[in-house]
Amino acid sequence: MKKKLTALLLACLMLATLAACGGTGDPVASTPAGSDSPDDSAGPSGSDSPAEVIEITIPSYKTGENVGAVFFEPQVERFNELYEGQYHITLESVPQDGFNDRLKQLAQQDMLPVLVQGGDVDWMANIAFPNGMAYDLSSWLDETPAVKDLLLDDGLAYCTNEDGTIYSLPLATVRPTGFFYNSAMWNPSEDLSALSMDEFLEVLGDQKIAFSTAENGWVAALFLTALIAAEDGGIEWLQSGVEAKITDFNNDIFINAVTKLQALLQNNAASNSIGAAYADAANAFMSSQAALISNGPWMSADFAEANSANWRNGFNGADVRASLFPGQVGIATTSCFGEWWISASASEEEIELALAFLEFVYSPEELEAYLLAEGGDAPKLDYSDDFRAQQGETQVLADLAADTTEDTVFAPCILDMIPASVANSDFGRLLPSLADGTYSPAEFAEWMTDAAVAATTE
Amino acid sequence: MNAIRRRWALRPRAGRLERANYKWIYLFLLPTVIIFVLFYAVPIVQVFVTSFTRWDGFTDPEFNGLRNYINMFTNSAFLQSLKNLFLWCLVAAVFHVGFGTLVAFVLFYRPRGWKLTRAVFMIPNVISAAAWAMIYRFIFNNDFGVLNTIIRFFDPDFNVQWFYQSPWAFWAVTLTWLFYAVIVTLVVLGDLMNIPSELGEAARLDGATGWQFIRHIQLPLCRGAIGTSVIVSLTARIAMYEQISLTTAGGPGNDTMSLSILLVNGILDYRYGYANAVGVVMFLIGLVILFVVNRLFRMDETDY
Amino acid sequence: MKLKKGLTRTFMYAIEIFVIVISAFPILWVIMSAFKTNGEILTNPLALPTSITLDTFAYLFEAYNFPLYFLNSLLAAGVSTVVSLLFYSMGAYVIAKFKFPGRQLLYILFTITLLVPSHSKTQPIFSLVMQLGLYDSIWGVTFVYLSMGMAMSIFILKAGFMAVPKTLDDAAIVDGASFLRVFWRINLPLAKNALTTAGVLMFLNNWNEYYFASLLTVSDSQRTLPIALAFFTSEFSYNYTQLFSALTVVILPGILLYAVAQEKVQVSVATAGIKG
Repeated sequence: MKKKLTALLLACLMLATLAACGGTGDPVASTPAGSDSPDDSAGPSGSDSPAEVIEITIPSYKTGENVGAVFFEPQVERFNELYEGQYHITLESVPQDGFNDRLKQLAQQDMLPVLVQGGDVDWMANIAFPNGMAYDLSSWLDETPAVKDLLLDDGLAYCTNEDGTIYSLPLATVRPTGFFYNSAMWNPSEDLSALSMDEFLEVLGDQKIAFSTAENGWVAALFLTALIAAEDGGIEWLQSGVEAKITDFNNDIFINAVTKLQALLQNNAASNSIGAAYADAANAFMSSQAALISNGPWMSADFAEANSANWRNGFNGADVRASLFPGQVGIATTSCFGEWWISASASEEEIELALAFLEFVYSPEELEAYLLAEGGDAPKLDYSDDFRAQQGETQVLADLAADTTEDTVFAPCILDMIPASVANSDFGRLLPSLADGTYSPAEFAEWMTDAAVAATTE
Repeated sequence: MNAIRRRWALRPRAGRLERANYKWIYLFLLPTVIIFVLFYAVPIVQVFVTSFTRWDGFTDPEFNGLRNYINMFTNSAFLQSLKNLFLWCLVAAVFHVGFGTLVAFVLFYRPRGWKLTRAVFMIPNVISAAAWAMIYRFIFNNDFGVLNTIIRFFDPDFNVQWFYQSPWAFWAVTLTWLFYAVIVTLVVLGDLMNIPSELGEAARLDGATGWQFIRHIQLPLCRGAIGTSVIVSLTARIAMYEQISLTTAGGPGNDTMSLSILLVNGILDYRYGYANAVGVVMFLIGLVILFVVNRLFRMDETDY
Repeated sequence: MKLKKGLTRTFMYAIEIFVIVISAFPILWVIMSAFKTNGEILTNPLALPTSITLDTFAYLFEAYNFPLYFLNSLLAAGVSTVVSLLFYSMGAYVIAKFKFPGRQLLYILFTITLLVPSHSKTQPIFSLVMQLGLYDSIWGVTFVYLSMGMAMSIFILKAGFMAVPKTLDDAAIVDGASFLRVFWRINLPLAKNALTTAGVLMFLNNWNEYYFASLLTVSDSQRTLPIALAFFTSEFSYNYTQLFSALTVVILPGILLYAVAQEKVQVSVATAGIKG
């Protein structure tokens, strides 16, 4: 009896395995997001009209309450208006949490949406692209210089494979991260980004800095990146992580930078910094308990008058100024994938639409609108006068734009250059121990090395 | 053969009856078996098999013997996770289950407000583990958390970041689940209510005091429920994830590291083979717990 | 003797009060904080809110179809709980009461399902749901939820059935009761406490489930409550009031449902006992 049962179990198991593996060929009853073409549903009566609207549905998290929706939803609307009667894109809102997992599963079922918005970087680089899931954009780019000429050099180099194929459309814009400071508390006369790091720290004196050390230690990681970039060979060291994630931290560059970070955490950190989440750091800045916070340009929206209900302790958003880091360092990863790629299994018509959409998104008007809405810079775009005038209206964005010149050095954020689990978990886990002096900088470096090696050993 | 016969004698079961009922028995098992096969069989086999491979979760796994296990056992975070799990299991078995049982006994004697207590005790289980972890992160917040605000009434200069300082972090994480033992309470209370009331009367006639009655009659008769509670709460410790990832994320240092965090980190790095090796260790620990507790509480024996 | 009784009574009340405080207070504090401004939260965490505005909540209800999400959640969690409770009580019943080949193995297999990491379940479940044509359907989610409470339910139900005196079964069999009848009329009613516990826990788990619901549905019409709520928590949110409001919106529906249902559950359990 026991044998029989085991045999039965095994048989069921094999059946289930077969079902799980062999399912991709079957036609599926429900049409998934993104892959429904109008031809399927139009029926015989609809097929005789030649000028049919090409329609696709794509899942996106930049919808609804998401901060990205403010710009992205109207942008898609503008596209639909421009190509009315020809193309139409419908957005399906899905939560950001779990979005990448969904893409992975859809990809395994060969059901990716026509236009794919991002995805997990490692997954794209190691799995999706090498396995032919993406449409090659290289010939389209060659035929469309209007787009190709705007692309960032680093990004284009990164996205171009050895055989010349390009799957992810490289970025045309860069949003360098610097820091914000409250000029009511601290108003240095120097051009901060032109100073050296040591001069800057001198000018800083005992002003307080808001740090976040919990979660992944985001705000502290930005500052650490700037400190590393200020070391000799620091930028090269950071950039070495583009090719292969950094796993060795036992060097002077890192240890010196961490030593300075530890000093800042102990002497200049706002009182709530140990165990501070991003929310705690932001609140320390917006309640005048810290004069300085490092963060991306999107934070500018928090300093607008409309947000004044969240300010405390005499904080006034109008006092906030922004600057890139000393040594003209802006934190930005330029060697990276862009936001969009096209599924290789899309039909010809769908690809036509997708390409039209990408060209639309990369048109000068749309790029300028994007920069105004979310900040940043398009180095290869000749701005219109109108744009320059409008950019000046938001003080901090104007500050950052003024600092971003041809001499600006872009340093990738350290969190992007180390193994994912170290960035997400180990780094933030140890920061409190660095801040309270339990670990010395050298021990911190050793710990990071151990964690990174453990995360990459196969 | 003799031994088998003795075991049958020790556990008087209607052997004849069962054979006649095989058809029914397997029919009754069928739905659960189908669900198991549909949802769990493939993942379980996959976890075991790929734990001996190098696998990115997509391309073909590549056999690499015990590498994943060797890497795991030489990782200090893993060893600390085992230590933490052991300590948490101890605390759970003694204090968590103990507290839940205590509340069950209190409720059994139906003092005023017992229904309200039972209803309110359930509330922390009504909301998701993630939301509960967030709530505790706010409670233990140094700036505006309830705990430190109250402490500062007595000591205005008090400053502790419960989730981010050694040695507090471990106990702060423990506190997020320690007293929320409503499952234990419900399971034990169910068994208590099932004890035939004649037993109580008989004991009273024999002159047993309340405490003797609890110790010698009620507790032994509840051992199945208590054993079940121990298993449930210990396996919950193995699987515990949100309570850690949303509060300390395993820190400071390795203070609150857990196997579940290591597993998720493995996935983050596309090391599915390694992550599944961690999963296998979790399985094995679960099996050991199941086995030991079953023996300890003699849970396969019925009392009536 | 009297003194001892008084002490026992005091002790019991102390336990009750402790339980109520640790269970209710954190939630009350969160809800209260959702009505305070960012500044009030930081300066005086324990104070009551100065004014109560329902603006946030009014906006949420206008912009989103919460009643629909609520119904979807209720459907997915409710149907799956009822069906799987029946399945698992059948399984747990024979494991608890009978000896048969493979019993230990099945018990072990069923209970270790609790420790199957969700990442390894994702792919098989996704392709299963696809093949059944249930992608982007609340029924697909319901189907997946059938599997969720297996280990916990088998534990609890097995213990529950074992506590039902075997002598009762034997007496019924002597009276000529069938296998089904012994299960349905004697064991199920007498294991009602275990059934309630397992059922409530399964329902709550499914009610709060986020991962598979978000993976398997896309359209607004198929959305469950946890997914709708995920739209409101964003990574770079710093506004404490908003964080507390989001938490409140997440936890409140479950608590309200529980408050309404718990009396009903108690009553139906009581009557089930009478019928049996």
